[in-house]
Amino acid sequence: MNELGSPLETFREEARELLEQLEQNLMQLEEHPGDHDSIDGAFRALHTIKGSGNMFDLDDLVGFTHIVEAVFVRVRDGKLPVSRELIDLSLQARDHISRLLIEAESGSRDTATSERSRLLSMAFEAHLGDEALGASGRRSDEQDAAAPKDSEHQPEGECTYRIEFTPAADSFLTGANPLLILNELAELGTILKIGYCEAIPDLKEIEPEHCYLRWVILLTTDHGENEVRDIFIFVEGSAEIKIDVIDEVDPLIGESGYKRLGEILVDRGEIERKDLESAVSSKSYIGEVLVKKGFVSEEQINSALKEQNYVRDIRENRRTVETSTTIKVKVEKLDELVNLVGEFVTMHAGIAMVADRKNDQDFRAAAEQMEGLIRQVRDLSIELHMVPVEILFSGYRRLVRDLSEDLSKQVQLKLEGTETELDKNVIDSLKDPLLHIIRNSIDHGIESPEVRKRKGKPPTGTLRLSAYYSGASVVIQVVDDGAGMDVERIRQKGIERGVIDNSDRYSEQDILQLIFAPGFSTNEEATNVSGRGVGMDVVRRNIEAIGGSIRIQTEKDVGTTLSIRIPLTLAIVDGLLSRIGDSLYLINLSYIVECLDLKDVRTAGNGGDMIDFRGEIVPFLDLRSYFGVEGVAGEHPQLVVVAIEEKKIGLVVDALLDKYQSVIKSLGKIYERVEGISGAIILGDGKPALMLDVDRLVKVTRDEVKK
Amino acid sequence: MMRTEFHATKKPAQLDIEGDLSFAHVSDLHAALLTACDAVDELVVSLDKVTSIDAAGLQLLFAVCRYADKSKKLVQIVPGAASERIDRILEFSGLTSPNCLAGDIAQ
Amino acid sequence: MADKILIVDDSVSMRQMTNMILGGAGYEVVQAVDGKDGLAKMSTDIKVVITDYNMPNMNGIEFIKAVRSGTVNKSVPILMVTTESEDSKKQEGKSAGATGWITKPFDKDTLLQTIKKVADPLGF
Repeated sequence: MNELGSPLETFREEARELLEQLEQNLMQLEEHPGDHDSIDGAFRALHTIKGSGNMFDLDDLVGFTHIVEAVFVRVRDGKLPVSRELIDLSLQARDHISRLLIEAESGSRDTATSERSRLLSMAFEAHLGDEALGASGRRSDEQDAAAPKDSEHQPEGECTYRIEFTPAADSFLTGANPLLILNELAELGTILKIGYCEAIPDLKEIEPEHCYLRWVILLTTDHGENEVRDIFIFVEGSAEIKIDVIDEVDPLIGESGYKRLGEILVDRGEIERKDLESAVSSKSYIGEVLVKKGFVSEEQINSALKEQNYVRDIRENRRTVETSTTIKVKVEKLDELVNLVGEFVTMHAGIAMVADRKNDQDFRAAAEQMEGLIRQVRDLSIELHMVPVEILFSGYRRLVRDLSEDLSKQVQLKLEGTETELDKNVIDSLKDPLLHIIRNSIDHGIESPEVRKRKGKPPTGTLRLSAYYSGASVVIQVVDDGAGMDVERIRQKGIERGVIDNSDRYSEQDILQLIFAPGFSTNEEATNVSGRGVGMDVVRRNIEAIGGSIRIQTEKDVGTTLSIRIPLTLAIVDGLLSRIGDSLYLINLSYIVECLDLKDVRTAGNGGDMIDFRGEIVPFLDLRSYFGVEGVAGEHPQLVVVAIEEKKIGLVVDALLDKYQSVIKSLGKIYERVEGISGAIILGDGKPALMLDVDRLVKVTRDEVKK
Repeated sequence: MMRTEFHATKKPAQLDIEGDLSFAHVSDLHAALLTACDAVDELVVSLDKVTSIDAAGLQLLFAVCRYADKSKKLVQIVPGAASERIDRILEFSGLTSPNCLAGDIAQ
Repeated sequence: MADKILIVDDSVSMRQMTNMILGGAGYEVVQAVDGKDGLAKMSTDIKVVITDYNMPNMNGIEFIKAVRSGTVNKSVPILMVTTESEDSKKQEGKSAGATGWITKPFDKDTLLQTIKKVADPLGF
């Protein structure tokens, strides 16, 4: 078998052989005009050339071969005798197909060949008699895409279908799993599946290979009836399928309560109207009466009740959506409000300072009262700017679905903590990084169903997106139950790339963080989904740009968790003001573990470059020398212990001043390239202060220690 | 793969089903269930070692319960470790649990 | 272990093409040149069968009937490939026990989607 070339090359080779076979069959037919084997052989050769040629879009070849084949169908069916003339013509056709094949190969198109196609086609058509030439075998979906059926229900917006589905008794045997159909339907919208098992006989009587189950399915969807019907395409004709629209938004009629129980049953054809009427007259509960009288089974009543509740719920939801009291506000306006409040906060800090300095009791009290109010206004305006992460999370549903389909994986997306709120701007900046992470999880993390089964996991992988508050931050986690990351392999790669050396001083977290290095990927077989590690470095950069940090936990065959910690808001920050020489620095309060007098702290490590912080050896950084501030250190230098994801360092400053709440201004050009500074603020008295980029400082310091 | 093991001497007698409770094995399983039901008046069907189940398999469980109702024999299906599996397929297919499905294994 | 798919087709290029698409999607492909060969290569671990209609020795219909009345993996989903879009061939296939059909020419997505439609991924 020639498996080396491309399928197209294989096809040419195959077509040449088939033409050879066709010629043999034709020669045989010339001697024995009635030879069935030769007729069949000739037909099959033409049929295969046409069918396969079609797969390669060889239109000229397919179109011509189709006509010749059609004539041989007539010969095969005994409607046309094999004549000398037909053999001659067929041999010419054989040569012509061969030429078309060569032209297809060279890509050239000779007008003489087209003309010959036309002439030969006409000659063959003459042998077709009255039989109209069927479809040329071109892509059949074009023919199927005819006008929609008259009866099709094409709703505007959502509507609810009632689908009664009774699979054929032999549906299990023909490989048609009715549950797969339920699964496909569920993908179209909101669904209520009511299964009926009342037709199942007892153990003595059951034919175990027969299907006795049937379903009533309520589906609320904005897909048209044809799309719903398409799902049943393979069982149409054998299964019983009845589709009715039971609820839709009708602007003219509006909607009142849903049908009564009895009407539903009549609708479904499960009870005669006269039986219903006879039951209605009695006073007791209608369902009970109907069962007692033996008109319907309990299962049918329960099913109808479920339908009633389902439609009520759907309508209820619709109403809630329509009447919820919200107004739309442009994001820019909100931005402006938050900004103004920020200015307000700054100005108040100034007033408070003045009040302090003047030592005026009344002035001070007024300033304090004002502070309370400002805090409320501030909180409210930040709240206005907050949106639930649901908006962010639910945007990934489609991605997860499409991606898992593309990769032939089964992935279930679970969303947790969707009500957690985050600054709109933060949400916007998280969109792309999360997208990358989710892609990676599905592509590299979650295994194919086969692999999962082998590992003893359920075939469907779970991807969990969760969000929760943690102090002044929000933590967003992407958790998969996939293969986990191979720490050893990442380490090896890191050594190969010279990013780390071959020693054991790197923690697992250090090694895992390598995946965020530019161009770093351990997956030899890059796929077209996540590519070769492209993006993960961008992911970290984007997250760091909004003051966030990212952490990985992974366990082989159990899964991977990526935790992204981000500040609640970008606009306003609570900080601790500290001083080095004449310069002021603000340290984000949410990172501060503790403040100590430096003299109370024992140094540790070789050369005293570490401190002993409650038994933990922690590196520290003298900010004075780090930022190159001139002059000598203060008399009582202070140590501020900060931590990012449990990684601690100490920062040495001259003095600690006060807690301070401030709006962060973006940095001017001067500070753009200063590592360790993330922004600047103007204090109430007009002095500038710099915002420390704690995340960066922790990283730099800990990297330094490693070297 | 599907295997059954019938402990006729146990009190009550017990039929263990192991492996795939699926279409490919429903005929064999049906036969095994009939034999067991005929042999004793009180039977526990244990699904503890069932590793997969499909609609055909589920259907057979319903048939067992039907039989138990009709014959007045004491038949109980004990899902054991397969209970989560059974719950999922029941929920997925919108069927209510067969009435002789028990929560815990009866000693 | 990847899911196994059995392709029964007398055309080398069709087999190769299908093989490429399915192999690329992570399936393991078993090839058979006609119905007889297909029956010989039928096994319990095959998840889906794709068979041509027109073949020498044993055609698609005969093959499907043989699988359905046999003992090995008799309820396996079988998709029949037809060039004809006429309903008669589909119906003939259905009554022989085909699970569904796929009309030639098809593209990669159609093939993969159709397989997904009949293969069992629910795993209860």
